[in-house]
Amino acid sequence: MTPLPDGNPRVPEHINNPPQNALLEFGSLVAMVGLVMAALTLLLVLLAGFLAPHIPFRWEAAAVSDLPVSAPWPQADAALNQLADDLMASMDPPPAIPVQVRLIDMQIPNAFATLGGHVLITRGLLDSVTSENGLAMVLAHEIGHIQHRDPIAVLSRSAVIGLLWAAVTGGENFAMQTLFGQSGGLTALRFNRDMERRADQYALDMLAAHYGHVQGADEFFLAMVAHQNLAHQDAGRWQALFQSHPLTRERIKALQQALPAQGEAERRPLPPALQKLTRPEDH
Amino acid sequence: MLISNLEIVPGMRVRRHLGLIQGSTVRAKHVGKDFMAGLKNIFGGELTGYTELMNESREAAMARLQEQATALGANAILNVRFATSTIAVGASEILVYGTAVELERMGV
Amino acid sequence: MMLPYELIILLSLLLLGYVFGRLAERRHYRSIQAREDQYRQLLVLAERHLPPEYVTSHESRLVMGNVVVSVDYFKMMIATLRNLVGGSIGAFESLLDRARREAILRMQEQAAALGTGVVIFNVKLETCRVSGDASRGVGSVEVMAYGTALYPRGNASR
Repeated sequence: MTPLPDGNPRVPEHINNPPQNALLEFGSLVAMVGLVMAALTLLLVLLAGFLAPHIPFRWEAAAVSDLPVSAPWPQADAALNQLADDLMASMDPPPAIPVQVRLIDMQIPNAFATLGGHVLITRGLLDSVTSENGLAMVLAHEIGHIQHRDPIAVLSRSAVIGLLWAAVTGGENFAMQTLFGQSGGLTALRFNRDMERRADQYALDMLAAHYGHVQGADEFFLAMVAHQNLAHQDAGRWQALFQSHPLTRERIKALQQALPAQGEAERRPLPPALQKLTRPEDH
Repeated sequence: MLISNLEIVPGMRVRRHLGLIQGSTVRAKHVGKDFMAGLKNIFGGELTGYTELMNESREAAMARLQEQATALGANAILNVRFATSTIAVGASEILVYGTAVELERMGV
Repeated sequence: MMLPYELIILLSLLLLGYVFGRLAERRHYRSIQAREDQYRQLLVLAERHLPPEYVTSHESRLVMGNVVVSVDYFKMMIATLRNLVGGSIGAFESLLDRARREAILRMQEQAAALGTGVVIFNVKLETCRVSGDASRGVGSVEVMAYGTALYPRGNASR
């Protein structure tokens, strides 16, 4: 038997613990993962945007036959649907996808286009337009979203991004989502702005076809800008709107370029069923 | 470097006993491989991606073990043991430890 | 535009983890090295065979030492990212290196209580994850070292 050693060995450090520059490693890892994630997200977003409009509308309509929101004002809904139908009928050829409009009881002025050809208008929006033309612009804009199949495109986009995230992070991971979630959100928003521009253009064409002019198209947007300065006092009410409808000033500029230079053409008043619901004291 | 999990090497004897040494490494595969392994899990069978991972880790750990042995002036590592543990999902630690010795040929 | 508060929380967690994690690791390594010098003569061997004279002159006793350590937030983040890219995870390697050496030191401390002339044979090391959600990387790991301490018969201590 050999003699036992004199003592425990003094092994050099850093064999099992190699020296490392933690900050540098962190930086390069974030950059690497970020780039790959951004590329994958972009690819999936493009793919979803490309494929979504080809999903038959029948499937979409079957999935969302009715909305889970109450319809407090049936007469106002009838007037809004009449307006929407008139607008669509004036197009040549008329749009293929039927649209259903509903007025909902919300103070925040807003309008949404959702799945199944549903358009929601909030009661607060009636206060921020002064004529039927202004309302028709908003309505036509949402109809544009629906004719372009934007809601399903946005839905499938967020679905694929969600899937990608779940696959990479293995479900909920606060740190990972905070670090890289921002880039995904920005891409989605950018494409939304393209959709907004396209819907604006569609709405202007529709207004021109229906009224013969586009006066009043900027009413709602001017009201938005007027309130933007109040956003601090009235943040809760307006913030959501600015987040979902970005770049108001840019859009107004584009709209005003479309407006004719010569004097005011006649604007129609709001239909009586809707006028009843406005609250003049809000102005 | 002679590595063995016996304590005696035939024909050799230990001239100097240098003490306990260890080598370890923690490694992970990229998500692609993790994903493929996850798919493979449905059907069962060998997860070659992970077999590869474990082999790479074991080799790296052995290399570190030998580095320690060399630093002490040993020419063999006896009584070697492996231990494996999962530190995080998809990342495993391999530890290998043993006795560093200096062997010499036994006189006949 | 203000930074989203999630990002602020994350960055401050990372900063805290980086600063305190570094401090703690340095301090731990210094302490490990000092104690390793102190116990340099208390042999820790992987051998199973005793020198023949020990059989009659020594008594034996199982000794063990364990430690549970955790990585800081910063290193955990690096490890999570590394897990996506693949490769060796240095953040965990130093953690485990410290943990193993600490466990061995604690085993030696226990053996040192048996008096002078103690040698620990057949040392084995075990590592195991103690806590932490699988998807959030490592929580904490335990390393345990155990072996048989042989001490001269005359030592009265228990």
